[in-house]
Amino acid sequence: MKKILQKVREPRRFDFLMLGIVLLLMGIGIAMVYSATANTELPWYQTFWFKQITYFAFGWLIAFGILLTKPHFWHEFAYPAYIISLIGLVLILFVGATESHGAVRWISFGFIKIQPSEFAKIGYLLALSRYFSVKKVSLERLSSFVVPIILFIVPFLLVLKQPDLSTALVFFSITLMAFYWSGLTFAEMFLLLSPGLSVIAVLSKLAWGGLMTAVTVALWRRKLPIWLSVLILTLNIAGGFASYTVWNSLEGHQRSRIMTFIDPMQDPRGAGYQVIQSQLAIGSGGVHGKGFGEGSQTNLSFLPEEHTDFIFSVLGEQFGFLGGFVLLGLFFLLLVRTYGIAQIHSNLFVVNVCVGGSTILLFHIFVNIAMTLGIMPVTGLPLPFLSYGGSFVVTCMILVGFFMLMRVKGDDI
Amino acid sequence: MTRDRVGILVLITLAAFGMLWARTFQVQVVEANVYEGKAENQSLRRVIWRPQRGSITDRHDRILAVDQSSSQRLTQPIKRNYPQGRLASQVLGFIGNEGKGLQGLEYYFEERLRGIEGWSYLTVDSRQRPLPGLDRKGMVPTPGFAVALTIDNDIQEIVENALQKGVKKLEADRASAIVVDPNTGEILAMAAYPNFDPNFPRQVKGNEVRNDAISLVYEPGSTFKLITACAALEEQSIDPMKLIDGEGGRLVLSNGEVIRDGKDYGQMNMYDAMAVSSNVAFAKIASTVGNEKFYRFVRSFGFGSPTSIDLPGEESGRLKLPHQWSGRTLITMAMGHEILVTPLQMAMAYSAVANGGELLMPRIIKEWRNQITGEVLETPEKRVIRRVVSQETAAMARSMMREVVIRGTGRNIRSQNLDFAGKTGTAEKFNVIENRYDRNSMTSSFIGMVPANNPRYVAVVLVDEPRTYTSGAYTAGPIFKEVLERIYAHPQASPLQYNLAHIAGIDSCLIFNYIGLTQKNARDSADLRGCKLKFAGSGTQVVSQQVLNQSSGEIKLTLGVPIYKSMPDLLGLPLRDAMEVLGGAKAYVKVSGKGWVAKQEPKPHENLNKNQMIHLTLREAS
Repeated sequence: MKKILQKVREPRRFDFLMLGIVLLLMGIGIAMVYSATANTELPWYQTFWFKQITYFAFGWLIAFGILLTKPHFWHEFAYPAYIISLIGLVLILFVGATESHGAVRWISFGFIKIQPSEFAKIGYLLALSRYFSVKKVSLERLSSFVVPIILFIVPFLLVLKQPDLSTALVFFSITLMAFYWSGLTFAEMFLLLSPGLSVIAVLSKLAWGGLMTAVTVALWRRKLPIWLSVLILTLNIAGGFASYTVWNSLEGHQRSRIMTFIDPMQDPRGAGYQVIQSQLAIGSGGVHGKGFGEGSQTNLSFLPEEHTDFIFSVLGEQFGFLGGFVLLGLFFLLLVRTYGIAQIHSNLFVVNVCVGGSTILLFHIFVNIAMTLGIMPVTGLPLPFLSYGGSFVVTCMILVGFFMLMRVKGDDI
Repeated sequence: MTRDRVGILVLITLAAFGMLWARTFQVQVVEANVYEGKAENQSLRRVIWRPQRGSITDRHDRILAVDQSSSQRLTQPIKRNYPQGRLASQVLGFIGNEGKGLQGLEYYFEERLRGIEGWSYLTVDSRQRPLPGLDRKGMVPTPGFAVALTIDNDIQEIVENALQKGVKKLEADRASAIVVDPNTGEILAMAAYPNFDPNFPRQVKGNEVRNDAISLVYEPGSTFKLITACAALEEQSIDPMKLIDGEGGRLVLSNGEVIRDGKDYGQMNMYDAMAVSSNVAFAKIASTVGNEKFYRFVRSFGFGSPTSIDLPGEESGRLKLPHQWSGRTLITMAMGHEILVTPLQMAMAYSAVANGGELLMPRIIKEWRNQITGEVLETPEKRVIRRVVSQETAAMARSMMREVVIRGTGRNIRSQNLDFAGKTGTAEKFNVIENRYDRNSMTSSFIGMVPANNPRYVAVVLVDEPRTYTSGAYTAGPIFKEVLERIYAHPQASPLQYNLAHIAGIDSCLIFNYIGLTQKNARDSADLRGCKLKFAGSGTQVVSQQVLNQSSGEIKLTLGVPIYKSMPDLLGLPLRDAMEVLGGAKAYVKVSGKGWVAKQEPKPHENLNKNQMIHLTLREAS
């Protein structure tokens, strides 16, 4: 036992622990996709669960392929990868296939459909990791933000245009993590984000008052240059005022649409329907769940998008609180295992890729599960290793490939 | 440095996962019951089951109205079947789309007929598709009460048939009739023509649905002289055998007004006066009674107040209080003017004379029963309201009415077989809505009873605006005669030991009108009364009928597709029915909208040319 633990802790060895965790997650994922789509009459080779298995197999091929490369290759390939992924996003504007919801997210190559925004996550991650492997950001030098903001804003806007707000926010989360990792404190990040927070907080006088107090205190303690302090305060007030004006000029139905976005329960037949059904599924699962294949919410197809975005609800209904606890535990283990790489290796590119990559996973996990539990708005973010879908499986497996590669060869750069 | 940041990273991750764990704990452990209940709720659909509505039958348990299915979901369209079609339609009424009675008995006894709704749970998926085998028990609907009427199907048929023929022959607007058993107060038939088919309530037009027997208010005219005679006889204010001077057919009242007879009847006693319906004599007879006493008699015969029959829409007529009377009121009322009555009030007043002096409450309900078991739950009993005249007075009044038929104004209905007694009447109608007399519109009536000495039937026949004749004797009289002769000839209804087979159309099988019915409806109708049918030809509707065998009652119905020379009335019909009706028209049909026919071009009864274009505009029910 001790020996095994030693081997697990030993750096620079092939990461069997991660292999095991990912395989377990995949197993759970296939079981859930199977039970969510069981009442189909398709032949087995056309079912979702079988397709998902082929995606996983393909994903492992990629992951092991990455394991054969060297980190240096990815360091060199970072900017080209970024450019290629931008080209992919631009290409969508011209040859994108329209999805049922009206968004344009795919490029179709006949038999296969590619979602460029998925690979843009990787391209952006590599580019930002490389940039911050030699540069730092500082509030005193606003010019230090220029390049990273440009790197961020281009794919962000292209994805937002599709429109795909939630994926765009993944880029945002990578950026935040990179800022933090390359020198900003929490207080500084708070000041940086405060104008944006003002826009939302202004709807409640109390919240905005609190926010402005916090901003003032942070500015006073941080002792930034006067002009910067004034600029941040001005931006806060301007943002709040603009938002307040716009809100008051909105029609009733426009406001209620925004409120439904914030609280979907207000609209039990529209967007709120999915959340309500998801919560009913999870809640009715109780502590132990109803058992595999016994989910009435799932089986009576009350649950929408059950094999993709709402796969956690399927698990919650059938395996209850305990099943969810185990799944979250596995995810937690996976993330912490990744953070460990940052302790083994000192190369900033290696660390940045691993921390940024795990941020992508954390953001997906948190936003997706919080959505199924009704504490976040309904976004289209899938759950890593569980949700059905080829492009996202490939993204995740590229990340897993990076994690394994960096752990074994992180020095070799 | 890196170590600290990794630590913070782990903390952030822990915080995020902690939130998710806390929320799953809240949803799946703390509030699990709530969600479980809600999840179950949405997959269970409460289904309301409509109870079987109580059936309506005649006094011999022949079905007049029945629900076709035993119980059905509330959302499904109700199927109430009236297998006899138009028969007794104004009495039965009809039900609306929601299954509620809107007219007639269906309306009046809605509560009793409807029953109690049941419910159960179905397990459904998100698209509301029920999943078999997962039903949960609920409550079985309780059927409504079944009701048997005092109406006799055969008599009702005879009456309606006679009214229909009468209206056509007399070119009248309407006709109505009541047949009562004077000894029990039971209504044996109650009808008005034109009537309607309760199977298609959307096609009901205007006053087809009005039950004239209880809601027509009219001046009774000479038929009221019976009441005047009874008052004088009971008060012994004048000797019935005393001769009254006819005044040359012209009596001048103190206010200068003139009462006229058709001619000078000379000296006459009360029998003669009744026979010839002398206004002069009855003016004199009424004067002997006096205002107060005459008012009391009229009131006591039930005029001025409703009879309280179990039917909706009964009018009470109008009887002025004595202090509202003018100098001429007593005399004009003695001849049936300045008073408004309903046919049913007249029927019950004549019944009192027929049964020896007792005013009875009219009854239309024979008994209430359990719809399933048939167990009798309630039997309304005969109710005597009061004695209005003595046996002797009633007997004398009857023999006076017998004189009317033997030698008086009603002698044209004298029968070799039956001993009729009755009285003719012609009067102006009172327009209740406009509150005035309609001088141009006449109501002719004949009210009589048979047999005269111990009446078994009392019948009222009213003809509204007859055009070929106007006198009661030649309009309502023949209808009365035909009705009662047929009743007597009918083997089940007849109190006689012998069968008057020589009277035409004796058998109910022979007189039922099948024309216009579909083959299935015709067969159902025939089965119900045990009649034999033979079908010939092919088509959608019965186009002609022919008696094959008088004694067995067998009838040959020729099916065909009716060819219209004029446009049929399609208003209110669903499209499918309209197209079926139009099947026989050699024309093209163009349809717009959906629902029921709201507009048609050409209009009903307009000429229809070959290959003409017919436009139908449909509209959803409002």
